[in-house]
Amino acid sequence: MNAWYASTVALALSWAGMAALAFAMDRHYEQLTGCDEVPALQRVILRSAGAFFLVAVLVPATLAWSASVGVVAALGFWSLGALLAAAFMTWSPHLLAWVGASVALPSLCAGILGLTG
Amino acid sequence: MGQKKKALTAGQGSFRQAHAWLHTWCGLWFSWLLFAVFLTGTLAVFEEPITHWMTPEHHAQEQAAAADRSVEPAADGASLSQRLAWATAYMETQHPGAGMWELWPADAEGAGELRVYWFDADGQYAAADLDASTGEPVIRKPGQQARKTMGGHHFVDFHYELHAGRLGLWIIGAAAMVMLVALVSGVITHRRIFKDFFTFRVRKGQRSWLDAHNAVAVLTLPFQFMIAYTGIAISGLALMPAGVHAYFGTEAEDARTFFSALNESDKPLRSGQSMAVPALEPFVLRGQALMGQPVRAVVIDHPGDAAARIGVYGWNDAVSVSQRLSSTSGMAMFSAATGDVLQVRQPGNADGGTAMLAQSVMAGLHMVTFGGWALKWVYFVCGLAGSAMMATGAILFMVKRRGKHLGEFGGATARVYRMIEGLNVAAIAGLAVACVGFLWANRLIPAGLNHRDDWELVAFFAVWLLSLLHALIRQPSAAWCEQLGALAVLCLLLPVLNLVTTGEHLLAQIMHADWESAGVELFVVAVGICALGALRSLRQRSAMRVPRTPSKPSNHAVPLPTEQETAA
Repeated sequence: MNAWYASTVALALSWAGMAALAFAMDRHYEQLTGCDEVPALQRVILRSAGAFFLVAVLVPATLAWSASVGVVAALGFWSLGALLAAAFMTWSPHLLAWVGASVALPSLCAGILGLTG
Repeated sequence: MGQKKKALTAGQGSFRQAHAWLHTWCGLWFSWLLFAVFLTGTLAVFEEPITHWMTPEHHAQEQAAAADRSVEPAADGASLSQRLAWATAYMETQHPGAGMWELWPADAEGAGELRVYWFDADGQYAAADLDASTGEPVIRKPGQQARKTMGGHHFVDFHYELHAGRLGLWIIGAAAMVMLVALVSGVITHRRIFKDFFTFRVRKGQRSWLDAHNAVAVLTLPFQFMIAYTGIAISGLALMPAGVHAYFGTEAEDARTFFSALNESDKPLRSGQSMAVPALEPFVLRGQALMGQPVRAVVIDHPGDAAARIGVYGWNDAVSVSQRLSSTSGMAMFSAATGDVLQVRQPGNADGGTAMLAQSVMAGLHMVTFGGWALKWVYFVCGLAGSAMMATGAILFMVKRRGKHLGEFGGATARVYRMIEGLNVAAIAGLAVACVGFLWANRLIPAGLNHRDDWELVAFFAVWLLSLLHALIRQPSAAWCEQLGALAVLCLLLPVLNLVTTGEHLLAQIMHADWESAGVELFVVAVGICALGALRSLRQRSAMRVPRTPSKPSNHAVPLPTEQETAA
């Protein structure tokens, strides 16, 4: 996998994962929906999706470089994704939700394609 | 701590309060130095692009070389064996007494420059360029020479030894230890580390500063720990010299003995019998086969002696070096007399066992030798976040105290606060001005001046010193505005200065695909725009503040701080 392509996919996955984890928290869920508590089922879904996306960051990172460099890269992309999520949460939670949802699927597909191809 | 009137000292209050105290004071006294280390260290990630921008004389040459290569790939200069023969002949005739030869025959494709290095009679490292198609020494005319500059290496040097050698290294080492202490105590002090993970509330005064400080630190915490720890580990031998001193002694000569024992324990002694240096090509070909890399350098110890040793070092290719944490290249060592293989090192491995390999990985982790441009950018952003962590921490300390004195310094409190305000301005805005001032100096100092590279450094430190004086003379809010204004002007006009002095401009750089120069200028312009934005919000706030408190710049229409917030 090409390094720039992998970086884009890793950043998108990490951004989406961090956004999902953030919206699983009462404070940020309220910023998005106005409800002051996340319903139990949605909390579980958002948390699992977030964790899944974050683990998935390892796929492009190890494919583009190697297992050792991939772990370092994944740690870096998690940080960048979290910074992006925090910045967008302040700026516009709705935009964050849209971006998170719309980059998650294509980048997951890219990750799976990378694994099979 | 917030609800009590008088400030606690160390050892008072709860565990968390004790750590809050530790975090506040460790953080404050070292934040200015650590900000400087972090900002320059972050710029050091792009040392090469900065050096490229700072040596405009090379740009035309590089473009011509690139154009040549695209027309006739690898048809550049003579064959490898011819290059090695020329280099050997040059060294034998011109520098017969040299104790070591280091021949760089070609680039990884077998083309490019032919260069030789050696130790001269005084034990100094010397170099000469040979023409790759005739073998004749290249004599550069003064006009062709690039301006003498430290380039981006200034930022590398400054961030780990402050241009002060061993003393600077020790100061930075101590600061890095304090940073680790501040990171741990900061995490302990931060009561809602997970609850506030993604929280950044804007336009809430002190709370916004705390949110920003927490966000940039917590979200990049793995990087901050890693960079401080590996920074200390790389310089471990210098920072923890007791072991070497105990076994080898404390003199400068002893350190050399240690390093030769560490790196070349089986280096042969000069035999006294003379023997001409053999033809090098067979050694190079065997070396390339053993380590699997094209030859980068051929190092000959004791050339002309029967005990001579020939080391063949490889070129790392960009792809494989981006995939491993240790960036060492391959190496094969031969006896010149018998042709026996003395030692082989595969790319990525280290001589001297696991400990040296761990050291090499630590160095790779710190200097991001792997992962290519993508990881450089990751490091750059995380480094900027680390710089922001120091800056917001230092500013937060004063924002908290602008409204109310905590009386930490008795009768001198007001004066100490004033000094801290001034140091904040000079350390944060002033350093940024000095960094861009360094780039200005590169274009303004005449190219042929003696010690030109030193004058660039003088300019850097002079601008920084001026910013400190300015910050101590002017009122803090005015000092912030004026230095941010200066930063914005210098950054936004840098492309203009470049156009006037060298005739290069952003559009041309982009059209020539000179992304290194374009990247440097685009980043500087972005910094200028950010400085303008910061300046605008500062002026808006001071305009809002005027009707209420005309003389004292304080704004405390914010929620009362909680325990964690007071521990800034």
